[in-house]
Amino acid sequence: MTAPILEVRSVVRTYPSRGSSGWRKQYANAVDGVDLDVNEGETLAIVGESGSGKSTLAKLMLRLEQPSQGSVLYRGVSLDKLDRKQWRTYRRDIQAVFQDPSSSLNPRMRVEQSLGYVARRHGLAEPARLRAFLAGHLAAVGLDPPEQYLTRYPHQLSGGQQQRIAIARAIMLEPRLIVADEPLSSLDISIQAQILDLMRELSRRMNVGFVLISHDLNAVQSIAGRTAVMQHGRIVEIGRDIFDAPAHPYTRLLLEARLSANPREARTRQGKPLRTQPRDELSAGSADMLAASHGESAEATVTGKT
Amino acid sequence: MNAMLDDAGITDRGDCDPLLDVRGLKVHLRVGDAIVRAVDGVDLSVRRGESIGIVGESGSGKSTLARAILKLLPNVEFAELQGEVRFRGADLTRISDGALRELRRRNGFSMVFQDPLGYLNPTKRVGKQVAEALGGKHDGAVSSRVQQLLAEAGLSDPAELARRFPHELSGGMRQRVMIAIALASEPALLFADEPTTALDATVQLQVLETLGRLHRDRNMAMVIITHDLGVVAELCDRVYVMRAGKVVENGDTIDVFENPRHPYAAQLIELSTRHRRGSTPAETKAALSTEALSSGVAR
Repeated sequence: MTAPILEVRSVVRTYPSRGSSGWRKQYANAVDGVDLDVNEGETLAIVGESGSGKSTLAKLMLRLEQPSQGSVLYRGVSLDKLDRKQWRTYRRDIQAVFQDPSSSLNPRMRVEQSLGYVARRHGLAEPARLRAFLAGHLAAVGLDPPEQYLTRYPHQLSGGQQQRIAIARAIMLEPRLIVADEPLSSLDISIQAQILDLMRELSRRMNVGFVLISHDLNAVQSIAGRTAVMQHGRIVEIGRDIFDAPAHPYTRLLLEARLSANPREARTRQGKPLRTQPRDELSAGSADMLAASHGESAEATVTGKT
Repeated sequence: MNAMLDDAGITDRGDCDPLLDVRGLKVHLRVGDAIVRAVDGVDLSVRRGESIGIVGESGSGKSTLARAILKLLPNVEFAELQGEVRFRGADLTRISDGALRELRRRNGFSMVFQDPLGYLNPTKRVGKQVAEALGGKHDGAVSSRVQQLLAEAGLSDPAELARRFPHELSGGMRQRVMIAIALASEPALLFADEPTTALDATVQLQVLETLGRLHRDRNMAMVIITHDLGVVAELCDRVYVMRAGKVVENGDTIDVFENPRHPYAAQLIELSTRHRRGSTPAETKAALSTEALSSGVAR
């Protein structure tokens, strides 16, 4: 295996938050001591429930956030120590795709302007050949015929089409890694399947790596090599076989909470009790619930890091 | 039963079956110059104490269908609105406002929405909002009924909780408050539009369990509107699959899931179950070959 493209080293990201009275200042660790290597060409999934810190981790990888402690390394160099040249290659090599494609595309720009801006900025194509260059990338993400999409505004596209544009914008730069934060959750299930197929194809054809942030274990299972499970800002389990052999109780809980889509296995219909006890938001003390609503961790520590 | 309902033609004394019977409902909306056929000739029925699911992808018309039935489509311009909606024997499309209010107030129907924060008043304590749904003044009897409803919706320590504001609650708790409010009118029929979509997986399962328990214990009929076939599999006796304003398939949940007749229904079920087994791109492509790509996806 080649060297990791990104290394996350003991990273902590702290956010200030208000105490329950609204006056006292408190701090919450959204990411609380994460170590993670992302290897060239691998598809690494990060799963967890809301508030587990997975999006913050994605932002730290993209340098949209700075770590409070620890560091993120790009090809062995800390992100805050990159020189100009390294910084430029980092900005090309690591691309981002976000959850809500309509908010990551400028509503006042046609697709051609949005993508053309990136292409010009990075000198990807001669001005005369720009249009053909963009059309080629739209075709690569399955928008056909591409010329028809170049002149549209984002609001004239469906959610799935917008997400394809966002992916096209990312792959134009021939990145080595795409950090995708919940790229599927705003899409219908048939379109999710198409985007997952597109990601597989890109990974096979161009050896692009993915960090796929998701709360949907079903979607992740079909595509990820390794999967990391986050809870309260920490990675509680990471591996290739967490679906078949979950080691951490929280992983088992998440797998257990998946709905089976098989009416014969349905638990609630038959009034069956749950086999494992879910995180009990109901019996938790009020302080915990308040903490939960502020995105803080209700538990002080999570044991059993695997 | 009161006179207003009698006048409206509700002769039902708890024996009317089906509880809800929709025939040939068309809801065509005027959007700018275009006409959107959001609901395009739907037949649907819900028997007393039955739980049905309406599934479909975004834009399939499932939410508009529910809102049209419950007369919750204010301020829209209809290009066409026709069909018959019989609830407990009376035609809701012709019912007076007073009778409609009466049905919402007592033993009629209630609705739970996806986004509870959008429907709860941020400036009022939760208990007061449940009390308002009970329609009474806030006295001792009401406050004990409020706590009873909150407890029934699965919230522990309801006395303490009633004093909280919505922003102090987690998403799952807010949805339970919505359920408590919906239960206040002792509805014969509960509509739930994507009730657990915004919730984390573990919380989703708990809320689904609560809905299942209320359905069984109160013999309350339910209509669950969702894009998630897992939710239907968990909760619903029968299912309607919608696409482009039409019901393309309906039947007993187990029958439909195991032997879908319409290719679109088959594809949705295939995609919902395949992840559990892992998948290869080739298989997904086959499932998506012509149908999905040609319509629905592209405009």
